[in-house]
Amino acid sequence: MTDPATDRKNKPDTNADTDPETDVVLSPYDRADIELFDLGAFAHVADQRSIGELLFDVDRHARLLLMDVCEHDAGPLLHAWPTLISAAGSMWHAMPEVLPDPVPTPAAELPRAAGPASCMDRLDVISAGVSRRLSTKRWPGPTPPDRRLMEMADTLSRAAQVTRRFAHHGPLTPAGRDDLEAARARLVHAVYVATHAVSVALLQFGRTRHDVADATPRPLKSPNERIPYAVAPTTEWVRRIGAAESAAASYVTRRQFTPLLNKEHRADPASASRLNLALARWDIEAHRGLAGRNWPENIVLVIRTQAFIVGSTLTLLDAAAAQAQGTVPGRLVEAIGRSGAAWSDLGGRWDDLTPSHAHPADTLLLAAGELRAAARELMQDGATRATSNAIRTRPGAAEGLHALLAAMRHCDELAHVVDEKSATPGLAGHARVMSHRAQNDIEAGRVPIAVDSNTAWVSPLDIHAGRTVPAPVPVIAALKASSHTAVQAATTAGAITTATSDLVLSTLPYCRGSEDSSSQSQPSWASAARTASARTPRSAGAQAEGLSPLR
Amino acid sequence: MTTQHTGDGPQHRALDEIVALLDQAYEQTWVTSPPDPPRMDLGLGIYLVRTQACHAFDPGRPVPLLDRSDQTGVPTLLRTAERLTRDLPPEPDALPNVADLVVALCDLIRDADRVAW
Repeated sequence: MTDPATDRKNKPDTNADTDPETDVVLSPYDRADIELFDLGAFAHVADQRSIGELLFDVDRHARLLLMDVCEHDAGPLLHAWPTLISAAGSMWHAMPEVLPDPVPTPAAELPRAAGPASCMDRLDVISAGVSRRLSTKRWPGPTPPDRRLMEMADTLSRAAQVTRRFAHHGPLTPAGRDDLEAARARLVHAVYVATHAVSVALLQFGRTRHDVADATPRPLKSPNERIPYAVAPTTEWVRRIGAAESAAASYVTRRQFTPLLNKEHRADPASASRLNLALARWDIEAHRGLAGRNWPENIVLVIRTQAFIVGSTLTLLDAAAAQAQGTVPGRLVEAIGRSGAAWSDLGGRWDDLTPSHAHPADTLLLAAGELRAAARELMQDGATRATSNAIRTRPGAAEGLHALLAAMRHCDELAHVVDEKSATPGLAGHARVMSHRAQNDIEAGRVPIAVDSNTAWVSPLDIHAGRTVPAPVPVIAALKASSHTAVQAATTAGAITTATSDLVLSTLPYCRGSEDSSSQSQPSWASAARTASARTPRSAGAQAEGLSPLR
Repeated sequence: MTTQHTGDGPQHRALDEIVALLDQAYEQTWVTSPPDPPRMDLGLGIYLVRTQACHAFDPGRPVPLLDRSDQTGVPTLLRTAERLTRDLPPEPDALPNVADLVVALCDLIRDADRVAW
């Protein structure tokens, strides 16, 4: 990853008092102008998230990674881990030091914070070692880095860039110091969780090797009692990553992660319609992402984000129901919940069919990130989810509920598009994952066609060699069934939302006022952009044919 | 088919270009191709979206057809039209129904990918 600041550092040092192009001696103001128009120092203007929101996003991705990690991710994760640590170090050093007030003179004699710096320095040293050894060790060999860690590293680099550009490097107020400590804690926690995920993947890989070898005449040496399943060729990696995990863990536990996060600075949303706009942008980018040739790289993010939208709707409805009992119909909550479950199930299936190095489109990533940040602004409070009362009283809560319900009304459109993709020929996945998925689906009765449960759907040779194989028949059949379920659930949720949302919004006291004002002055963008009367048919060509129902 | 000028300013010029591309795509599918039901269905779909675009943004001033003499295929024309929509703001207070247009174009692109050319 190229860091503009690093690039600038690597350039030959020129005289800072002269224009680099004309060699004219500059006044202090001119020097400031050069920095102002330095293209390398510009922040990413398309990403409107704050530094705290970027860090939260990284932390959230780390948790999702830990939930989804498996043995096949071990190699890609190892290759991506040094990049993540490099980006985390960049962010760490971009954050201002806590200065005493007043600042002593000379300022250069300030003692540096030895404890926190040593944590990231230690991680830097371990990361450099891992990076060196990756080029010399036979395992894991050359493999593309894991996309999830690379996305986290990208986000951290962006946060570091914004911090370097806009952070205040003077004495801070007590609230400012607390916020800074919370940001450091969030950063190290994300690194800690991501590093633990790498550790888990390595140990799962070792465990599989150990179990497979146990069934042969040449079993592997018994695992180390202290580090179970740290068998060759992962022994060294488990030790190195374990050391990094310990360094991050000691910082997090010593500094009391949760109380620190609860002191995080929180500002009310700058605009009550942020979630509205984020949903409108997401709708457009999701359709673009699935229409392009690179749709296989985007589809998992689209499905996961749809599940996130459903979850956010449930949270806001829950907060609304807590205020006025009986105003949110149970069938609405049940239908939306079923839709969320269907999206989640579908996301897991497509995840199995997506290579670990697939990289979604940047615009799609930005739209998804902005949507998560906008929803988090309403629903999150420090380290935990905000209380129902806090959610209801936040500016933009009513507008957010309006926008989410509008999104629920037409989320079946994306479900139809995703459903079409399940008929794509040539879907493939990792042999072991395909084998597990086929076996599990058959045993759970999720395969809607008659299949022989005793058939080996994936060759053991392919599994042993870790090859990518075409998705077997039961996996494709279950994927199609899951897609149909998602379409049906989204259609039902949309219909019930259409039938009940006006009633819900009109009976909720905190929505009533905003409904009146928003209908006159600022309608929901997500719904206004895609009105029901102007609803596009599932396929324009099919509509011309007059055969396909409207969405 | 007559292209109608949709207004002034960079956003409206982009819309003019989109309408012109849809015109050309329609002609390729409906007028110039041999009778082929899937292509004709797609052509009707393109015509619907083109009409939708014109009616959504059209102040009603007819202008000559934009000159696009390059011979590109229908999928490429549709993808180019979709790419042009990326310069348009999605907020309805700037331009109404951009989201509908984008989604309709995406549907057409997927349909075009399924048709044999």
